[in-house]
Amino acid sequence: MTISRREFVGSALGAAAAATCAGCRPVFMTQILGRAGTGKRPTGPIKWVKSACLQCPAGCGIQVKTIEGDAIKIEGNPLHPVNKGRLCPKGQAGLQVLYDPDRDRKPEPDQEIQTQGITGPLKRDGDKWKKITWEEAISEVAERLAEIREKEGPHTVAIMGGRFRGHMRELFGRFARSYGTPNEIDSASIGSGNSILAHYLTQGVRDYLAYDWENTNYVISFGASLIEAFRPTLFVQRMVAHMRRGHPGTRGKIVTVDPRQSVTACKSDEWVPIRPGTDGALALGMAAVIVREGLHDQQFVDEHTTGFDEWKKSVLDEVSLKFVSEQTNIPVDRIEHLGREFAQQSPSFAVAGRGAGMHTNGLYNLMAIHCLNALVGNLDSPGGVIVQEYPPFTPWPAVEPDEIAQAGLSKPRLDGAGTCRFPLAESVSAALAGAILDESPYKVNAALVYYTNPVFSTPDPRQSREAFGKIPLVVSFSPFMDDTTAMADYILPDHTYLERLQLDVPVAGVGIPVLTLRQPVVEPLYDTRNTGDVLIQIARAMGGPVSAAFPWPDYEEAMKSTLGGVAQAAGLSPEELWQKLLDDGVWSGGPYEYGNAARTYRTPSGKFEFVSSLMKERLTAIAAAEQMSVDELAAALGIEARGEKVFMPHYDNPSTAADDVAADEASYPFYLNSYKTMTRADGRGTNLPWLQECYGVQFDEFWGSWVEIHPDIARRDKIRDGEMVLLKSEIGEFKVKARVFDGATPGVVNMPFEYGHLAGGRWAKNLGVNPNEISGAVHDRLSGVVSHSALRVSIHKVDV
Amino acid sequence: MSDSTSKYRWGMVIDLDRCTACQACTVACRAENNVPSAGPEEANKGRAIFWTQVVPLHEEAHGRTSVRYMPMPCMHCDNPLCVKVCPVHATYKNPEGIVAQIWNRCIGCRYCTVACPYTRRYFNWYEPSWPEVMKRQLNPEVSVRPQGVVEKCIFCIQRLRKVKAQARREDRDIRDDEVIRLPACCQTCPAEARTFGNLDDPKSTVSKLIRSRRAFQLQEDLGTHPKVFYLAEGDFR
Repeated sequence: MTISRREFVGSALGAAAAATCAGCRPVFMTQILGRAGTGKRPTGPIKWVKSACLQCPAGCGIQVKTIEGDAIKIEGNPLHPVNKGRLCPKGQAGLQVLYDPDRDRKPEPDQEIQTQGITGPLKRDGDKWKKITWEEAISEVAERLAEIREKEGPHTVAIMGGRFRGHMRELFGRFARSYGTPNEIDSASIGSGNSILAHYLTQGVRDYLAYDWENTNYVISFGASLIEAFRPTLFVQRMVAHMRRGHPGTRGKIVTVDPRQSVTACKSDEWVPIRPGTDGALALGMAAVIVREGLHDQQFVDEHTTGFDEWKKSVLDEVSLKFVSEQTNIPVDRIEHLGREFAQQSPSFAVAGRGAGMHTNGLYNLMAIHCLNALVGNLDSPGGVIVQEYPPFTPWPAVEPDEIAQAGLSKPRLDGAGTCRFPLAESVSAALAGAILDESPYKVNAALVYYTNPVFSTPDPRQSREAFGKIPLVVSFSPFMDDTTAMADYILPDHTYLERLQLDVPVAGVGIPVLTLRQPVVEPLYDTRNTGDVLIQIARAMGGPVSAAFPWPDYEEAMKSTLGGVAQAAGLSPEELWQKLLDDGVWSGGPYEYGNAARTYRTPSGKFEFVSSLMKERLTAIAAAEQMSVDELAAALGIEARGEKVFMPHYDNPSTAADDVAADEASYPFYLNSYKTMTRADGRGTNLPWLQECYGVQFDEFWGSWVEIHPDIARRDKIRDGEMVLLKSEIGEFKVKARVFDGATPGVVNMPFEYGHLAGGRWAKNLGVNPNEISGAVHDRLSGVVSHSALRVSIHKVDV
Repeated sequence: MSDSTSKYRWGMVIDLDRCTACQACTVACRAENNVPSAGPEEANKGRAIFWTQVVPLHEEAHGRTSVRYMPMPCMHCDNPLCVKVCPVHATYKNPEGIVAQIWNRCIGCRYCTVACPYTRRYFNWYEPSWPEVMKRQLNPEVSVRPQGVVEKCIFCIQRLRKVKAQARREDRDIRDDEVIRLPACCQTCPAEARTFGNLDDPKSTVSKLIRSRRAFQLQEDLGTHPKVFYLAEGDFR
């Protein structure tokens, strides 16, 4: 007998009608099926554990729902001042970090790098990995490091770190100092390092700044994707929403200056497309308008700033709006309008991000932008720029380096930071690969890699891979087989952030001091160990002066020993504070008090400096050491300005990798602008299917890379939306999907940065392309920060 | 439109002026409701399941294209077309207005998926699966839908049931502050753009919000009477 579709549906309908007859109310059956695959449903009580997120530096408080030792769901901690109970998509996806199935993946043969899961300490054995015990791992690494210290010298060890939290920067710093290496290299130079430096040189505050979102009327952002990638991400999202609907009767205005129409630009009141690298010119154009029309706050300028008249004479009086317009591609009347509006809508503030800062002239750009805040007097005032306060930790006793350490510490740094090459840099991770390959200034014998992935995230990863292959001893602390860890000799895996005990201080943003406790929400899944403990154990195993620098039995005690000052500020005993951190997850001070000049201006003059004395001092000293004049140093660095103007925020032309700019523009007509999306946690979050599957909200793109091309260019080159194109630069090429996008500017193509991992988990490896693969390292002339937009490319149709 | 059998009629308000298009709602929903990931291949066939999704709308504004972002859960229509076409009564409107579904009664004919004018219904083209260790994250309060079944947003009814049980124990009505951020998407929303509550209570937050001049519903002209309302400044139709 055959049943037609119509008959089948009809009979099914009858059965259903019978099932819902009188007295049989439909029952909702979500509870009926068991848990997939396991056949069992955990029935134990629900326990909520307070902890801290670490999917980005924002440092939100979280609470995790656990049942019978399994973590079921992450939610925001309502008591935490950064996120007030809310959580972003990255935070929501945290359980896929913890339960990443590739953490215990079987060994996989690979062409370049053998990869496997990391369930405990691993040692490289040829092209394979061998499991070893923690005791073996620690004693072997300690032994090798001690040997290097004796024979080749402690300075030949590089310590690379990225996301330092909970005193880990200080702990690694102690290790470096007692061991004797000057080579502590963090990842600021491949990110927002210039922001910190710009604040330091103008205001003396070596930190990101906080902004008083709650009371402001007007925000102009230069290359900072406020709601996608600014810091602290979630706080800014909350605050942008607050500006919109938070105070009835007032609606804050948001202006976004960006070469690309990002989600932030779509959500802003105005989008101002700009030529990459010219943000400083726009800021100076706005400043010139403000000063010429007398809209600046003269009283504030007189009381709280120095060097205004010199700056005005050497820089502002020379600014021609026509020139600014030519540089930025923004019409003169729009520049005038932006300048007037910024001054008249006070309280207002200007923020700058990676987009304005990652250029050869990035530092000057950011300084010029920050000057806008000083001009209108919105520093440390309601609705303006404020300065982040931190919990008053009791400092650890100072480290006394022994003779060997002193000798090591006096050696020049590997990356050239603080020399005539990168005079204002603190560390330049992107310069490390070159130094390793050239063995200049000396050979590198070991590298410790903590929470960073330089082989993926620095320009020209091929060079990095080659360099890391050359280092005799690479120790990685990563619990994941990322691109760099795959090249390690020893892997001493840390816990993931949901298994770890650690204090946590959110990145600057809310103003008031905040201290969070990251406590384990579940037992560690595998044989991993807190890197804080492991570092102390390695130091202990080395004995002598290195061991002496770590007087605590473990990391927990080391952290607790700093809590005295915080407890005092909180009016609690240290034990009560610890209990509060366990129960609430967070302690915060406040309220924020405006108008604290000592906190706000930490320059030698105690004021905001339009002519940076800190910069003058540093550059003069470096020039003198090289027996040059400052002008000669400036010329050698490629800076156009001379004389005092070098120390002032001014507009210096951005340059690209090529010596012959005109030829470069002809053969590589587009800037390649790589950007962050909200669904990306610095490329560290690639192996998270929840985020991958909704990765590019603007284009409904997922699971792969794309490049955005302006419709005029697409029409001219006959490129259709969605087809593959070839992207070429001077050093490489790759194929990628083209998306035709009105929000691209004609001279710029855009690509998200996230994909193209050569190692990593099943949802990361060999998926999409990494724009770094075709970019060479071009640096900011002063700070060494990588200049992403110096990269120029050409686009070619691929014939299928 | 009030249903006489219940004093609750649940609805949601999404403030597009607050929304930052971050997609926390999308991920929170998947985590709470055991929605499997499709993976690159299936996703490219359009088979990824999103009970709530931020949909980009490329549209003309001020002489150039801009992108609007519409977070879209099930609209929980008071006059749901999907319920009308279901041949087996698998999907139904419950007394509190939630368009719910009995998963194991669904025969997978997908009439509802076609009928829904908001395209908020998803078919399980494959058996949902997770690597072994990821199963530890699955929410035991929500069942997993098998292959061949259509699924959709249920306003996190599992959370609502708990609140209701608590209110019943204390012999009182559900309070507005208990439910305003109850569903996983509302709970996580960084911008606090999503609000949940009882549309039949004129004093509830959602009722106040929908009286705003900014309020509108999607495709009101179809007569579906969606219980998801949007708020937006200016002209948004």
